[in-house]
Amino acid sequence: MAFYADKDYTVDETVLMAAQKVMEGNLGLHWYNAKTERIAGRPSDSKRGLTYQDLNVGSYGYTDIPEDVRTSQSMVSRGSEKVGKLPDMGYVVNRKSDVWSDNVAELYEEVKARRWVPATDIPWTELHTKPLPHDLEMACAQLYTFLQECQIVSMDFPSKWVALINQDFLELKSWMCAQMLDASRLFEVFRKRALFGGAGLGRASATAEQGLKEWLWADQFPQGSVSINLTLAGFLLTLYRQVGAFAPTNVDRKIMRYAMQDAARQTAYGLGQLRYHLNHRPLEANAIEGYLDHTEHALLGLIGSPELLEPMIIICGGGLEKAQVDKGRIATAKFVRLAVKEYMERIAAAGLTGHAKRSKIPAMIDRISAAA
Amino acid sequence: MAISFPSTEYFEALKAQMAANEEKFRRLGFIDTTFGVSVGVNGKARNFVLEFEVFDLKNVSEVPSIDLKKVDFQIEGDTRVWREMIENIRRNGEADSSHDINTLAHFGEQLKIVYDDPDGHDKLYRFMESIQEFFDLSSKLEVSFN
Repeated sequence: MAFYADKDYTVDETVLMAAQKVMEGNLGLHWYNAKTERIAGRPSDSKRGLTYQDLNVGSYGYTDIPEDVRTSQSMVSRGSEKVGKLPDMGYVVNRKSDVWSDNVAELYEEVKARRWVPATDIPWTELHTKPLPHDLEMACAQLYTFLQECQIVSMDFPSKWVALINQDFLELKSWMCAQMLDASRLFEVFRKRALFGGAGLGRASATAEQGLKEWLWADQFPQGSVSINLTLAGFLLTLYRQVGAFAPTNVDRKIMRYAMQDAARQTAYGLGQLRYHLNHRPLEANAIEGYLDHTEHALLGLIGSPELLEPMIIICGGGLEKAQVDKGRIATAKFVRLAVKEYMERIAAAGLTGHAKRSKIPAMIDRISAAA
Repeated sequence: MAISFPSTEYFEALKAQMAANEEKFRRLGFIDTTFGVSVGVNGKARNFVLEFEVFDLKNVSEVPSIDLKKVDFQIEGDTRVWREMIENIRRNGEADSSHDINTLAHFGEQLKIVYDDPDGHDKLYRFMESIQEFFDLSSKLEVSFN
């Protein structure tokens, strides 16, 4: 697949001559009178600095982006004057309620302000001076292997969609790029943690990966977003909190504290996007419910994966002795119930208030956790 | 002189410490959340609302009760749990793994997180590093418990 510009500029004498004329000092200044709004962006809070919220003004703002973007298909930056033969980028997501969330600009500013660096913000040498017992280190290596699989999907989902979304949603597209960076940073820190400990990586989870692929390949953005940005991110947020609470080392606790910040932002977008979608298109509620009925089973693929549950039990119990495993089973049962409870709360808060009653998941989680 | 907990003065002292450690909080990034702290004392509760903006605690107020619709979330717990947390911070310079906010609140068995909207609840985790560092500033205070 290739696109060819409307001419080969190396053989276009008019372009060459125009450039030469300018370089000789004959400025045309046709852009000087661009038919655009003249505004001066100013920070509303000098400590925070100049944000996208401060630039939400007139034709440059995002509030007035119409529900259906019909007149903008090129890569032109919103608010510019459009002249000449601008290329059609072939965007296929042009409807605001399919992608927007009212917290997009806020999240984009937040993700940059709250950045962190795995190489230097994690006290890696503490792991060296206080190594974990073998069983716990093996469990950590397996858990961090599993989490890398989840982060690959979190990275791929925005990557898969961002080029298909209309450029008028520039704050959203910027946020999606930041999501990719968040996911790649989490992938990085999980990989580094696993490989620092000496146990190497563990085993991939087929049940988790089958479900994750089903979510990743949802054929519409709102559906995929519910799965990846709300269901998966919310589940991972609860998981990070659990591992943080039972962390075998200060390094693991620190990693989880940063990870929960990144996952909570993703969840905030997932909830905000579903809420916006349903507020503006209430008739879509049935379609989303139907989608969840078909794909929610993937959550069980994650939760029921031995490659996740077993290391969680060992980490939460502190080892492989019977008393430790018993303690770990109880803590892990609480974790899976909490993860599903919070998932159902978010779905209800977004507008699907009756979903918990029709979903098969709570009853199946009760069966899993009752075994503990 | 020791600062009494729970009290507005305690949170005001943390606010002053936060301002004095601005570089650390700048490094952690924006913190934009308003949350409640409820401390159970002899069957009653003393309630505080903390409003954070950009890098600062802008305002602290004691209120008769906390309206969950006006805060993102509320951290509630018995004064015994809060005291144990603050004394642990004082001993270690920061909360250890058994006494940080996440561990104490995780299953709601010691501290409990109460909220009206899950989006508000998630802000606890979006700003967790800043919130924990805020409470860890208790290590710089002499605190008394009545």
